[in-house]
Amino acid sequence: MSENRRQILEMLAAGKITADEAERLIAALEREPAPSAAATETVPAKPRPKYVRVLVEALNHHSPNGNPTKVNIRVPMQLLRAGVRLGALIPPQARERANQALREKGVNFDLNQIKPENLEALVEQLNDLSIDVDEDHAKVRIFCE
Amino acid sequence: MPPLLMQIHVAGRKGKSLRLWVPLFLLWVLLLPFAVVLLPALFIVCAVADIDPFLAVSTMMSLIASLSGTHIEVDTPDAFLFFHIL
Repeated sequence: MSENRRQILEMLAAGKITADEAERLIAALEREPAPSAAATETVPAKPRPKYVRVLVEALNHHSPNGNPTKVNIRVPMQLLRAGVRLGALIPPQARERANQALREKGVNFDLNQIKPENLEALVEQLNDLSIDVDEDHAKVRIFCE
Repeated sequence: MPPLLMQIHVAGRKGKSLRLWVPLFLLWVLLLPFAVVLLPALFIVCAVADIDPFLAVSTMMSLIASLSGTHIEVDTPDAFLFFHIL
């Protein structure tokens, strides 16, 4: 008996879940494919992104020949990591004031939550990040590479 | 490892252009004596602000070391700016 199935039965025995819920959970477990060694070997690990790239192209109506303004920025991920570590050096009083200022602006974000271990998880997720803003006068593209 | 070179290119549409290769490794060498002199002051500031001075130094070092690869390019109808750290 698998560990997950045992936990479900224990929860059922303890009365934490109903028989219907237990049945649904067990069915979900059975649907879930077991990871095979062959599958893990054949799927290559996605390369971790090294840079965040920001591309901006804005139409300039004041330009005589109509050339757009282009901005191309590439920021190393390591710099982001170091920046967050720098954030950890902010004294607690200053951090609290910054949190308060953010809340006043409607941003409900706690700077204390930014920690190196959280950042690693964030960077992992950035792998698939791609933001495209396409408006009449400007195009913005943010992605990781 | 800290960045060793910085490439700057500024160009105006009227033909004026400035290309610079800045040897950052020389800059680090020049700044090193100042860093040594300023280190006690940094420790005092860290003690007052209740910050781990070693963490502060290591963070600053990692910040400088991670600058390599930074690339900024701005192309406007009037001017062109290129900034790259190697």
